Formats: sequence, C-alpha cells, structure tokens
Amino acid sequence: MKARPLDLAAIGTLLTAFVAGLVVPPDAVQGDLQRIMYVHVPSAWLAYLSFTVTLIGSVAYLRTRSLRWDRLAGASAEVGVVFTGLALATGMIWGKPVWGVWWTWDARLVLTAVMFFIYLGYLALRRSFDDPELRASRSAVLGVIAVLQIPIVHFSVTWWRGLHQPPTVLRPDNPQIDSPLLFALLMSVAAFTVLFAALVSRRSNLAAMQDAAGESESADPTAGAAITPPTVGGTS
Amino acid sequence: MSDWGWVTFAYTTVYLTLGIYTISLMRRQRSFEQSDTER
Repeated sequence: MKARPLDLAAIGTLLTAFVAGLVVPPDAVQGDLQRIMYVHVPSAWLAYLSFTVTLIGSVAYLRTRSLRWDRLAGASAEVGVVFTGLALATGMIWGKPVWGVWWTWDARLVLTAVMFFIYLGYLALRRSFDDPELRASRSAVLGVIAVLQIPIVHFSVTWWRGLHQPPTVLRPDNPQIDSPLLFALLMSVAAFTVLFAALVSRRSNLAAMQDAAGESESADPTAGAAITPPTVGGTS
Repeated sequence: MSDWGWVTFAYTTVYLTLGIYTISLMRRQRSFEQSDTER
C-alpha cells in the first residue's frame, strides 16, 4: 500500500513531538520551556515558505494565466495563515513565562501580526470575487506585493533590537545551538514542512473541485446544511 | 503554571489546530466528491 503524504506528515509530526518533548535534553538557560521552540520555529518558517509559494503561484499566474497557479497561491496563503497564527500563539505562550507578558510591542511581534492580518485580507479578497479569472488577477497582485514583508519580519530582530532573540540558525555565522537541539529542530522543521506540502496539495485539489463545479471559494459545500430552513410541521 | 504546563499548552494548541484544520479539509473534499457523484 502506498503511503499518502498526509500519513507521512502525521507520523513525522507525532515522532517530532516525542523526540522534542522527551528525548532531547532541556536548554541550559531556559530549561524545559525552550521545548516550545520545536513547534514555534517550524510555524514561523512555514509562514515564510507559504507566502513565498503564494508569490511563486501569483507570478506564474500573471505569466501563464493558468488558474492552477492561482489555486496554488490561494491554498498556500490559507495554510500560511494557519501557521502564522500558530507562530504568534506559541510565541505568546512562550513569552508569558519567559518575559512575564503575553504580548509586547516588539518589532518582530508587531510585524508578524501585521503579516498575519495582511494575508487574512488576501484570503478575504479572494472570497470577494465570483469570477475565477478576476479573483486570480486581483489576488496575484496582492500576493506579489505582500511578500515584501518577509525580509522585513525576518531581519526586524537585527534592525530594531527588542525583546525577541536574534536568529539562532539562519544567521551569517555558524548556528548558535547545540547539536542534539539542532537535530530535533531540523527534524521538526522537516516533519512540519511535509505536513505543509500535504495540506497545500489537498487545499489546491479542493479549490480545483470548486472551480470545476463553478462555485467561488466563498461557496462552501458544507455551509448549505447550516442555512437549510427547518421543515415546519415535520413529516411524521 | 509549571514549565511543563506551558510546554503542554503550546503543543496542544499546535496539534489540535492542525488536526482540526486537516479534518475540515478532508470533510470538505469528501462532501464535494459525494455531491459530484450525486449530480
């Protein structure tokens, strides 16, 4: 039997939770709290990756006018919003015991929140058009412009020194992390990236089905059940 | 809350959110496939 990407992702992420939570040693400074890094960093990495895929899909659509690329851009943005939300949430859960506050107006935090809301706006824009061609061309322009935030978010910790720590792995000199911890982090990043690819693939397929059925993204087939009027009097 | 309490809170948030999102995608896809078969 052929393993599906979603099955592989499920096994990989669960194995990651086991290794990151119970196998690798705690951090010398932050102790067990640092284990949150193994879900926080992959979420932030996938936020970057997903919006880069949205850029690629948007540029490819503008060049080829093939809706396949538009669906890829939309699917990646939706999954990216989920991961950006998780990066923010896990950052807040980490911040409360370490910094003493859930939220602070640090450049990295604020810019990540802005990125989250801009891509929510991107998804809202996609839902505001019934015509797939119009939806694709308008959202492709936003998909290209919005990606400019990624380098600003990433380098914000270097440009404006705040509470958030500077990059540990993606930095010009060698990674400032011990080998077992780096191994667990890379394993986690790999597992969550497989999950990301599986989710984007599924979401793209769903969008293709919606387009083939002539429905816009706002017309969710499962939403119909919630607005079906109740039968008056019943049928006994 | 203890350190392990915060760690559990973070992991539960991540895995629960991703699980719910994955299941919702699968259900929407299945619902579409069923309605396609009925058409």
